[in-house]
Amino acid sequence: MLTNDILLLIISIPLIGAICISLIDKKNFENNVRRSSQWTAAFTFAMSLWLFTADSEKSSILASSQNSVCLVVMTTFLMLISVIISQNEIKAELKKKFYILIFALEALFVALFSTADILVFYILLELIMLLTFILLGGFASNSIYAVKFLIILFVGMFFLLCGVIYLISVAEASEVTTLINYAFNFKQECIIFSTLFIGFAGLALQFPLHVWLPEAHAASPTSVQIIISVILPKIGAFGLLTILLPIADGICRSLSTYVLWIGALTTGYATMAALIQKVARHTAAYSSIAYAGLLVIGIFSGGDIGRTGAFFHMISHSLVLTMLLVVISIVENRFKQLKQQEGNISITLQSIPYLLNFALVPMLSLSSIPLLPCFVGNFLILCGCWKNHPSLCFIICFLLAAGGSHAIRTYQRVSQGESNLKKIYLTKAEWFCLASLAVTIFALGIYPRMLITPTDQRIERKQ
Amino acid sequence: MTHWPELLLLIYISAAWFLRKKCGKEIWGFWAFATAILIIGLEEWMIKSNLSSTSYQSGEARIKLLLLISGCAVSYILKAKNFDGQILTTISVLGSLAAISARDFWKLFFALELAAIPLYRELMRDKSPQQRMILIVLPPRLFYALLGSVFFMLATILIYFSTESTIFGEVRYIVSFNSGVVQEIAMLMILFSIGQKLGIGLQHFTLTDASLVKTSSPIVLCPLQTISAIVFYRLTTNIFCYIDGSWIISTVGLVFVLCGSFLLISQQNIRKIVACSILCHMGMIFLCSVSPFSHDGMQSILCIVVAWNTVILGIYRLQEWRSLQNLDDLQMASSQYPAFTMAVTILFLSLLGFAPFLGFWSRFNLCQALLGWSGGALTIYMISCLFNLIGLAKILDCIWSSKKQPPRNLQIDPEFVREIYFLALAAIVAIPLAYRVLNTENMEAYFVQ
Repeated sequence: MLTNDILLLIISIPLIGAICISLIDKKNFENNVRRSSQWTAAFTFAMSLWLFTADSEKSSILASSQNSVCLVVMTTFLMLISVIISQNEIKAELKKKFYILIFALEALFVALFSTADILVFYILLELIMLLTFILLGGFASNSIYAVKFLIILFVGMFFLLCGVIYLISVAEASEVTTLINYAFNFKQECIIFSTLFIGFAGLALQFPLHVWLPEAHAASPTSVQIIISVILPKIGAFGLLTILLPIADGICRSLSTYVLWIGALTTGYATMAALIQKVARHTAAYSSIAYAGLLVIGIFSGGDIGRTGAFFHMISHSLVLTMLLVVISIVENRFKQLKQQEGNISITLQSIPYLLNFALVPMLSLSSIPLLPCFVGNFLILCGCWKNHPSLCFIICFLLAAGGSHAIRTYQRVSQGESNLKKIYLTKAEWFCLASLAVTIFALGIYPRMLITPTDQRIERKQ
Repeated sequence: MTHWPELLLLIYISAAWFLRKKCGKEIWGFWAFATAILIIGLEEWMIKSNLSSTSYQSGEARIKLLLLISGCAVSYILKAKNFDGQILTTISVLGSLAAISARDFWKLFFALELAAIPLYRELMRDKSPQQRMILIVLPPRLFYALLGSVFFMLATILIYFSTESTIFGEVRYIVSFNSGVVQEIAMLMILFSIGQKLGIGLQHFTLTDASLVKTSSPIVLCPLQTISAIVFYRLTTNIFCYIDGSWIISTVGLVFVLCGSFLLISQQNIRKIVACSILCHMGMIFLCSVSPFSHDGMQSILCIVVAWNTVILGIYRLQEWRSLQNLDDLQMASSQYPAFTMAVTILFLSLLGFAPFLGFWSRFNLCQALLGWSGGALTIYMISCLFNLIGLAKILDCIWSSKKQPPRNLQIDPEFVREIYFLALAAIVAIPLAYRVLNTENMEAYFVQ
């Protein structure tokens, strides 16, 4: 079977799943919704694994590069985790609406990562924004966050639309490969850069377009958090890496210093803000923003090493952050079950056997400990940055050290003391989520070539 | 050029008028329009297969098709309940078809007046139980309706006396060499008049109150609005480009776009939302007309009129069903009829220009036209898009937020639900329509002569 056909299957399975869920009647409703949603997500993930192992040379129309395939696999995996972890978080009467939206979004994410046409990319992005807005408005504790999200991101989207229109009118084509091979002059590149960069930077949570995230993040259920703080920023980074950079290469090199400082400002601001947060969800949101800044630094560092590091980080940090969000979600869930007072998070955490061990994995990874994936990504980005911007490297090292030490200190604080509460064991679904995430994170940390090799191939093919 | 569709519609009007008491009042108009559409399709096929030597002027058949589809949809929505409305729609479409091929200001004037007959007819007919409301509703509507016609007539007389001709080609030739103040004023008056016909929907959605006056004119006049947009574009790009008045049109367009989208933010009533949106779209048509990038402007206008007609038809049906007046009513419907509410949401998304629905393509083409023309206009348009976005956020939040009051039991007519599905489908299906059927690449010969 061709890669294209598999991709079409991956796009259509969630849509079919959404239709099936919409047809479920009230008899044994909750059980049926749970089963069909989990099977749909699992089957989609299995198909994406098949895509990952399929021969990429056969790919022609849909999958633009091996990078896209990696992102498709990551998306389907994270959606599977979201579906499993959200079973206890969403009210029964809203489950149907929720899973329809989630699966529609999954299909759109996959289509977006695999499209090779910039106009289709924009249209899919606008649809994703609208569905995410409905998801945030319907399931966050306050719908004002959804309005903020829509307004701030759509300001960037207008610029993106202008850029897309300009590209199409100048090159008279909308395929990304044609646009990459088109020789734009300096003035044209300036217009393309200024419009596309604002659009993608807004999505990639760059300062000051990140302001909507922390509060929206704290007010949303875990699966919505995974979408808004893990997958959406990766779309922005993906756009910068695979659309803006190859199309406007010259101007990107000329203005790289300024962009790097925007990335550094984002990372610095978010790291410092994360240090003073008292709510775990806020800390996770700021961690997402900080790493989004790091991604931009890697992408615009001027070398293939930095870009490879940025791409590696897009996958690895997504997994690490998702695991952190799942841990926080489980703790909050138990906290509600045990009717604990505020400030007893550590006691709650200790009343759940094995959870503390699992919590160590994202904490250590965020601290850039070797053999864990964030170390690999950070190392590659710093290597890429060192040649042209050594001073920036020092600043990033300092920020990473500050963030890492804070993560270790937080873990130490919550792991101290003893709990007298009755033990509440992890459920099978929670075990599955945590174990699969931990195994993937360790696998990427120990054997990073799993992701780095395809990226190298992409670079070689381009050269 | 063949006139079979017009002949068919004339036969239908005569037959319907004489046989209305003897036969049933089923959806006659729908079938008349459907046959006319088939005739045009057959003719096009014969021309392509070299079976017929007759040919429309390039692009004209597509505009005819657009008007006939519009008339077909209106007749279907009106059904037997409003038999007079069906006949009025047919008259309006006939006038619009005549306006398509008009090459003379006088002919254009009479064609547009014929297309506007339903407007005058509606002015005289009031089914309101409170007769005193006529005194409130009638004067502004009558004034508004007559003002444009009087202006057009005066302007045509002025043009005749200053250029000794009213034929487009001759007037254009004279004006291109020597345009005086009188001619400039006359042409601006004509544009104002056509703009007034373009904004007739605005009048119906703002000046009248659905609870007081029940009227079908908002949808009966859809063909008139469509042809007004097309005529406005044709005259601006062919004749008025030679006078120094384009800055007035572009300024008015920008003001309309900005005001329409700004006023939309605070609206709760569905009719008011449509009215503001119509104001915004009128501005967009003005901007398209003065943009020097004719192909993009043309495509944008065609997308706007189709999206516009779809939404007006949908809102008319919502308005007929009395329970749905405000957005909060839709919120109540969303919990009971999610698919229906989704269809209505699609109509709103299309109206406000969001991807991938039809309205998006009008926004896309307009941006394309403005990008190469004026940075300032593009910036103002972007600001208006931001206002639209805030309005959309409010609408979506109002409709889909699950944290409002518990829903009350709403009974929706299944036929009504089916029609809304059909219209939402039209907003989606119109995407390939915009790029294939309405593809304007070979229509420049008609628009830009």
